[in-house]
Amino acid sequence: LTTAAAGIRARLADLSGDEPCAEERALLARMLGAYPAKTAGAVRHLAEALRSGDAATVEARAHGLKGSAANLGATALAGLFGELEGHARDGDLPGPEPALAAVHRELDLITPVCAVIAAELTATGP
Amino acid sequence: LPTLSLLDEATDRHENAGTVFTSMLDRAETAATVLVADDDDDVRDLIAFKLQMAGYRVLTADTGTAALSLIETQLPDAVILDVGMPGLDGFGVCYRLQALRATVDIPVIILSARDSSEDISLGYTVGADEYLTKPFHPGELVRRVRWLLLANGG
Repeated sequence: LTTAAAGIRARLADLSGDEPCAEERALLARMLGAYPAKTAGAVRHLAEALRSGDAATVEARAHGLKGSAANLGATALAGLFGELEGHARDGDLPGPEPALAAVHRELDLITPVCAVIAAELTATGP
Repeated sequence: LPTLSLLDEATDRHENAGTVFTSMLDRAETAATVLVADDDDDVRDLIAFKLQMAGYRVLTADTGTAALSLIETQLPDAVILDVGMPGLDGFGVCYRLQALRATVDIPVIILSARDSSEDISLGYTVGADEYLTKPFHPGELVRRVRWLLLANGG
C-alpha cells in the first residue's frame, strides 16, 4: 500500500508541482476518484477479449489501460497491462483467469489509495 | 533554430528581466490555439488544463476522426495527438494532415504510450514534429508546444 501510494503521490507531484492551485487539485481529485470504477469497467471489456482469444482487442485495450495507469502513477498496474499488451502483440495470450486475477488484486489494492489521496487533495488548500 | 535548452534559458531570462525573444513567446501563448486529441478523458483534460494555464486556447477531440474534422475546420496553430484512438489513429491523422495544403504546416506532437523505436520512427515518418512518450511531464509538453509555435512563426 505504501509503495502504491508513494508512486501515485510522486506522479501527482510530477503533474502538478509542489503547490497546485485549487482548480488543479480538484481536477486531480476527480481523476483519482473516478479511476478505479472507470478502470474496472475497461477491465471487463479486456476480460471479454482475453477470454475470447481476441489478441488485437486485448492489445488495444491493455495499451489504453497501461497509459491511464501510468498517467496516475499506478506503476504496478501499468506493468501488468503492459505485459498483457506485449503478450497480445506477440500473439501469445496468457491464461485469462490468472492474468485477470493479478489485475483485480492490484486494482483492489490501489482503490482505497486513490480514495484517500483524492480526499486529501479535496481537503487541502486555501 | 534555437535548441530547447536555449529556449529554456530565454524563458528564464524573461522571468528575471524580460527580453524581446520571450515577448514573442508571450504573444504566441496568448494567441495560439492548440488541439488535443486523446481518447483518455483524464489525459485530455489534464493537457487542456495545463495549456489553458499557459494561456493557450484549447480544442479537444476524443477520436482521430473528430480531431481531423476539427483541424480542417478550425485550423489550430498546433496539434497534440495520441496514437491509440478508436477509428483513425494518431498516425493516420498526422499522415492526412501532411497531404492537405491547409494543414501541412501545422506543427504536430505525437504523445503516446507506444515507446518502441519502430513507433517513434513511424511517428516522424508520417510527419510529426515531436514524439513524446507517456507518462509525460506536463511542463515539458507545454515547452515543446511553445517551442514549435515559435519555430513555426510564433
